[in-house]
Amino acid sequence: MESTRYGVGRMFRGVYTSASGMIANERKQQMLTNNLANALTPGFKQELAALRGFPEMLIHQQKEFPASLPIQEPIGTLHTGVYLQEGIPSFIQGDLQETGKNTDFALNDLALPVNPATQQSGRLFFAVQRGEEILYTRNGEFTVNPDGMLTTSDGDFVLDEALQPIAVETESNPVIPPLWIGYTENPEQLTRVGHGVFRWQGDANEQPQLLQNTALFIDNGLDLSMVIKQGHLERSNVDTTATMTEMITTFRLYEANQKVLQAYDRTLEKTANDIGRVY
Amino acid sequence: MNPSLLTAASTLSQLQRKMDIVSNNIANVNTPGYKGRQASFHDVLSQTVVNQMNQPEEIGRVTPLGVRMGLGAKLSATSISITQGNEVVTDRDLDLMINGVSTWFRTRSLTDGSDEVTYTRHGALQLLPNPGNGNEVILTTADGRSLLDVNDQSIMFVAGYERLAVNEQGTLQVAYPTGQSLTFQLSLAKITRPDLLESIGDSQFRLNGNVDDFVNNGTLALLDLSNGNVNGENISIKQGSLETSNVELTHEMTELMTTQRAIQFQGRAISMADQMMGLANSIRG
Repeated sequence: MESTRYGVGRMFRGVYTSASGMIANERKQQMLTNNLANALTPGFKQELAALRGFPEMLIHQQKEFPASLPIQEPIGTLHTGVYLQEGIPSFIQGDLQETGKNTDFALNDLALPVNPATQQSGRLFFAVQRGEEILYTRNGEFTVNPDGMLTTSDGDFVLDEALQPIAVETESNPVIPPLWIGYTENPEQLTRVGHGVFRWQGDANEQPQLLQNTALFIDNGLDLSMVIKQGHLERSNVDTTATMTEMITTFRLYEANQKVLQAYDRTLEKTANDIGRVY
Repeated sequence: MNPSLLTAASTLSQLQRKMDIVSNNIANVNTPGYKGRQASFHDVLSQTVVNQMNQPEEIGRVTPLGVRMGLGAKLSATSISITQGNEVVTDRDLDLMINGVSTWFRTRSLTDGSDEVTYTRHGALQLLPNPGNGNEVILTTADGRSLLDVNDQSIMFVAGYERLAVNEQGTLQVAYPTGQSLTFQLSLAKITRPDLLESIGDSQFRLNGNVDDFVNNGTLALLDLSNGNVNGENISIKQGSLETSNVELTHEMTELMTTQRAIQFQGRAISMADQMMGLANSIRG
């Protein structure tokens, strides 16, 4: 039993640490692959992976007195692994691309000044309705469904300033009333639900509010034409070069963790098979 | 299985479809009246990984709990671009060009016996002998569908004419050496929601559904240019000209290159995922 406490237990800790490193890097690689896959998706926001060490542990050394009274002496602290804590969407503005389609819209955050009250710059979103729920999106590639309603390519209703679905006049050219544009300074509280759509998961009182009603808009005398462009789309904000570089790094980190795991394996092999072998 | 492998593989096949659409646009860069298509993408529904769901333990976290992993991109829709193509002068009497977006010639098949009206902007017309009457010819499109007049009839007249003229209002006048002449009024359709048009090949499009419904909800309007009922829009017919394809080669080449690069990125991601699986596989050994 002594050996478990002194030796093998410590070795196993390292095995799990390097294994956790492999798992975390694999998850990070998946996140990066997904970013890369969406390099052509309008309004897509790339996600940044945040890795975090396992909570710290205090490591003790056990000393045995002649009277076999165990005395513990602290060595120091140790993280025993790493995990992918979260994927943080980067809401940096994507480039605008002209499409000439009058059901395409792009939002431009860069036109917004920094809020003097909070010293933060906010982000803008369109509102769409799926079932009864209101969701948010940056993908302004809309279409008119067979019932004449303005929807996303996924069939969610696009909402106007009164948060009502929009019936498009088709008599001549489609006429689209002003869209609801939401403003928030905490875009991190929006979680992805796929198809370019986000759900607000933060405090219900702080959810995106109509831009025209914000003090920022009124005080700075902003104009809606500065923040929304019809006939344009916002391109994905994925930086393919940076993503590729990071994928290579992540791959090598995965490999390094595998090597460490192999080293542990060899040590264990020695312990199991060679120590105490009678030649 | 390494999930990035699946993400990259599925995205690769979706990008291939975009490649197909771009290639088709490029292939039709010289097709009169061709309207380009654009492909658009959206990200695929995320899968939530539940790890460490205890908020107080998650120090420094900025997003709500859970990790939402995306699974690549998917082709969400293709849309047709209805912009007007350029004019190319051919000086051929049977070449007609529609000047005005979203406006289409109405045609009907002569052979399959159906009443279905299809729409085209391919104005390179021809005269085919009328199978029912050997002295007559029928005005048809290049693929042999008869062009309709405002009474929904095929345009048929006795061969041996001297002159065939179409004015800006779409009135076709056939003059004979004897001094007689016949007039026909071409029927046009204005379709305000081009996304409902379904391409059926041979530069023809179909509106899937009941024609009356489309007329009632304003999607489809039948135009008789000689009546001037064109809602103040400037629509006219030009004889001796064809409308070129509205595909911009520069734009399509750019799309082709970015798509090709995106495919390469996915290929690289697949190979990385494969190597990672190889590493996992060779921990022991």
